[in-house]
Amino acid sequence: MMGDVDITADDRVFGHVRLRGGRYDQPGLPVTTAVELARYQRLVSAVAYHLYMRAHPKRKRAPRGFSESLDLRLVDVQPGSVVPVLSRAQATGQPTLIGEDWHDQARVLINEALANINRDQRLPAGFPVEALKEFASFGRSLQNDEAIEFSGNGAEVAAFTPQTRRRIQSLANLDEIEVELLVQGQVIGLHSDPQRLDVLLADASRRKLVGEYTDPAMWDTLREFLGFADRAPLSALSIVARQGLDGEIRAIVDVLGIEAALPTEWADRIAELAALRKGWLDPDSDDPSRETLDVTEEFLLACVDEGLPRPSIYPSADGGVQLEWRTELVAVEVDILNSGTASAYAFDVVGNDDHELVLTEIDTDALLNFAAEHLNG
Amino acid sequence: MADGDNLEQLTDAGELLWRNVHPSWVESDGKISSQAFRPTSKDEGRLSTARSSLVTAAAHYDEHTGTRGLASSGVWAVSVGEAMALSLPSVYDEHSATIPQPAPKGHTSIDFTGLSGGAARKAGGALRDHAEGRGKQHP
Repeated sequence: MMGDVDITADDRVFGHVRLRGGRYDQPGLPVTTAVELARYQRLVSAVAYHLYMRAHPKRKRAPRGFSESLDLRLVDVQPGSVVPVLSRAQATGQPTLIGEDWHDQARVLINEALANINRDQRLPAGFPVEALKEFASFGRSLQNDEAIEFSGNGAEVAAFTPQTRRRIQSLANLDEIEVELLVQGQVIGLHSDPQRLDVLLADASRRKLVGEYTDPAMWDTLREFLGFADRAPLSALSIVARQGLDGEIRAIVDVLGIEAALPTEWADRIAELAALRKGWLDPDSDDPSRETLDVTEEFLLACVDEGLPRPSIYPSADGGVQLEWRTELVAVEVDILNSGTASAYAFDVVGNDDHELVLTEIDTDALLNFAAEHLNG
Repeated sequence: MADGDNLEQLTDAGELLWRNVHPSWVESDGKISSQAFRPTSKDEGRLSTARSSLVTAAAHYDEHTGTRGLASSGVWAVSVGEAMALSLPSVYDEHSATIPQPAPKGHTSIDFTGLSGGAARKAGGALRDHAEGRGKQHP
């Protein structure tokens, strides 16, 4: 125990690393190894960052402190070639990252990537190509007869050798590579001959992607997502994509699967609202517009990411959508209107600590922050 | 209280006021939108209900969905006293020139005109909570 940081606890050990061959078969740890371990930490951080950002497409950046939150320490060097023991230091009171252990997911994915690259020179599904440059810089000091082996609990050993590094560098030097990805968007065009589709991405770029699918049976599935009531629902597509090393998807090479991006109960309710027509409430009442439903879906997806419960979802008498949450302490309402405006209210159930947010332009981040702040207390 | 314009402010706190709720404002789990219990922007601050001393919930539902051909998921109710507690007067105005004629039988307006937008929204939510707690009255 060092101060209030316990870096020897077993639950902080960060995978297993073994250095073999060449200099590592001699007694002692070459000091250049420290540089490689620092590069390894940067690689894990980069992969974790891109995994997080991909899982939270509405976010413009990772939570504060994300990059600094991985602080690996060399706490021991065990015999048997050279076995540096890496441990995560986490000071008492340091905020933990919401939800999942992104760094451990990154560690596992890096191990998987090494195994795949050694086997068939391909990256595994989900590996963020944006981290390839960081990956290619790892192991620079490794000599031809040396290897770094990574393993987890019971997982196969993934070896990093100079040959592995050359393969990673050749991938990193390509202008674009084929990767398996999960993207969110709407299927806005579908053709059976040739087998092509158009997808409108739900990220900030709102880009239209053209692509292909190879399995003829996929046409029926894709058609279900082409749209109900003339509007395509927000979908999560598992695709093989040509992706530039800047992370931009250039084209869809194949579609492996598709499902609703929102949980079924949420998506079904949006479908009900999409089926409304003008005059649904009284002769002059407007149904929720396609644009309003698109923004509402994006907002709801952000609510899912934030861990908020499903709100009640209603058409608005003013033309648009009204979302309502109720707890024992607070009632929160969010209006997203066809006029391109939005508002949010938090009503104190037992007192008068009420709050209101009025937006002349729809800002889903502001609405999410408002809802989360008041629902999470 | 009655006046020359055929308006009568109701004072019997226990009297129920019926309210038809549009099907789109009832979620699959039965939760009702607060919108169902506050006036829309076209209602000029008055929420339409019908007083239980003059019409049954079933008759109010039948008139709404049959004679008037409007959609309803059913009839819920709030009391005059619950509205009063929110500073909302309930005014029987079936024969008043202030509302389009012929009005639904027993037509009574819960008057939101004294409330700002946010306060009206909160009051609507409170009325909705009372109505949900009482349960659907018909069918």
